[in-house]
Amino acid sequence: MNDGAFLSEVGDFDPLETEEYTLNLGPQHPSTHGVYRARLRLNGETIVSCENVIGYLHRGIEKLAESRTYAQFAPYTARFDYLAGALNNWGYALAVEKLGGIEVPERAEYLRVIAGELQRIASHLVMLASMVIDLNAVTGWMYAFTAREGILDLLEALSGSRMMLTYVVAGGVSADLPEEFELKTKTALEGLRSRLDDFQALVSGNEIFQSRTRGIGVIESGQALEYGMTGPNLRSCGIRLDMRRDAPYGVYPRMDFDVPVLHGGDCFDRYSIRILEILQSVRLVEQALGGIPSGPVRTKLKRTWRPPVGEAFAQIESARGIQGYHLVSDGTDKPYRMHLRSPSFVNIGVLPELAPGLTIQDFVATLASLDIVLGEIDR
Amino acid sequence: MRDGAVLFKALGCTPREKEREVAVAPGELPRALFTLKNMGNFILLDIDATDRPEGFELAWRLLDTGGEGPAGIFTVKVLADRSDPRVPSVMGIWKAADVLEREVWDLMGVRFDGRDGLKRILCRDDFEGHPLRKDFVVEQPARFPGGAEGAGP
Repeated sequence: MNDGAFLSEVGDFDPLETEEYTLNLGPQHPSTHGVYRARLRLNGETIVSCENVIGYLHRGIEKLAESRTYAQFAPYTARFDYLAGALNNWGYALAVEKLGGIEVPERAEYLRVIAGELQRIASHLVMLASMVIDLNAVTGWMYAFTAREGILDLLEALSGSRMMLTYVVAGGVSADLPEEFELKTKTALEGLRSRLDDFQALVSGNEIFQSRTRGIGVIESGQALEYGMTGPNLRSCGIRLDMRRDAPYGVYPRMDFDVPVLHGGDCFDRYSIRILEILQSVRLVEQALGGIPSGPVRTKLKRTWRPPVGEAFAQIESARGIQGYHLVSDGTDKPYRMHLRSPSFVNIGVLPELAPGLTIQDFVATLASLDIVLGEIDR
Repeated sequence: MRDGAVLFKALGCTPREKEREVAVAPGELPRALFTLKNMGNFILLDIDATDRPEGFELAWRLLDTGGEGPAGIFTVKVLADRSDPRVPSVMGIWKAADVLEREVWDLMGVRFDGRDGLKRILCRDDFEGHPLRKDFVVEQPARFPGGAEGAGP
C-alpha cells in the first residue's frame, strides 16, 4: 500500500472517539503531601472537574480535647499542623489565656516570637523543598531541607523536640533560653542565608521551573477572599493581610518587619512569597534576641486550674494562614468544646474551581504551591 | 475593625453588652450575613457549632478588616433547635461556606438548607452518628470498612 492510499484510508475513519475518565490522585501519592485525594475527571490530560476527598487523617482531636484538661491538651496542638508545632501551641495558648485572663511575662512574649518565627522559617522551607521536588527538581529539595535541619536544631535546643514541641504554653513558655542559644542562632541563620542564596540561584531563575509555575493556577484576589483564603496564599494575590500586623498579638506591634505582598496569584508568586517571608522572619528572630528583657518566662498555673464559665476565640498568623482556636468553658478543668479553624482546610476549598482546565502536571504544581498540611485539615 | 454599634445598626439590632457578637433567628441569618458582606471588608473565617443543653449554638466568625485600627472578629450566632437542627446555607453568599458547612453537618449533625452536596467531609460516608454531639458514645468497638470487627493486635 503506498502512502497516499494509506492516508486516504485513514481519512475515511470517523474521528477517534474519546471519553472522560476518572483518576484518583492520592491518597497515597507523593505529590499530595499526605493523605489527600483529588478525584479528577479527565479529558485526555486536561482536568474537567476536581473533588477534594479528605478525612484520612481524622483523629477526632476536637472530641479528645473534651476529655483532657487545658494543660493536658496542649501537646496535641502540635499534631494539627505538624510542620508548625510552635505556632499551633501559640494559638491554643492565646485562647486559654483569653479565656482565663492570664498575664504573660514580657520575656516569654519575646521567646514566643523567637520560637514562632523559627518555626515559620522551618515550615516555609518544607514548602519550598516539597514544591521543587514535586516539579522534579530533586537537588533543590536537599538544599532547603539541610537549611531546615539547622532551624530544627534550634527548636530542639529550645524545647527538647524537633517537631512535636509543646514550647508555647498558657502563661508563657515551657523553658528559658538554653546556653549559648544566641551564638547557635547566629550561626544557624548565617547558614540559612547562604543556603537560601544557593537555593534561589539553583531554582528560582531556572527556566524549566519558571515555565512550570509562572501563570499557572492563577487565583484572583476576589476569588481568594470569597473562599476565605488566608496567609501567604492570600498575600500572593495582592492582599496585604497578616494578623501579626493587622490584629497584632504579643510583642509584634513593637517589632519592625514588612509584610511582603505579590500580585501574580500564580504558583511562582506563591513560591516566591515564602522566600520573602523567611527573610522577614529572620529579621524578627534577630530583633527579638537583641531586645529580650530579663525576667520570668511563665505564669504558673495550678494543676487543677479552672477558667471561669465563658468562651474565647483567639487567632494567630500561622505559617499557612489564620489559625483560630475556639474554647468553651463550663467552669470545670476540661474544655466543654474545642474547635480549630485551620487555614489549610479552608484554603483547599478553591481547588474544585481552580482545577478545571489545568493539566495534571499543572495541578501538581498548584497543589504544592498551596502548601497544605493534612494534619490540620483532617484534625 | 469597625465599631460594633455601626454593625449592629446596619443589622437593625440594638447593641448589647458584648459588642462584637450578635444573635439572630435562623431565618434571619442569610439577610444578616448578606448585609454585612455588602458593607465590604469582611472575610468568612469559620463556622463552628457547640452542643449546648438548650440546642446547637452555631457561630459564623467574620474577620472585619474595615474601619480604623486593628482587624477583629465579628460573630453572628444562631441557636438551632435540638430535635431537628436546621439553618439556611450561606454558600450563595460566601463560597468558603461550602466546606465549613459540610464539616458542621458531619461532626455535629446540623443541616444546612438550600444547598447541594451537603455530605460528610471528615468521617467516611457510611459513618453513623455525629461525633461531636455530647450524646455520641465514643466507646464503640473499632469497626473497619470491609467487615473486620475489632481487628488488630
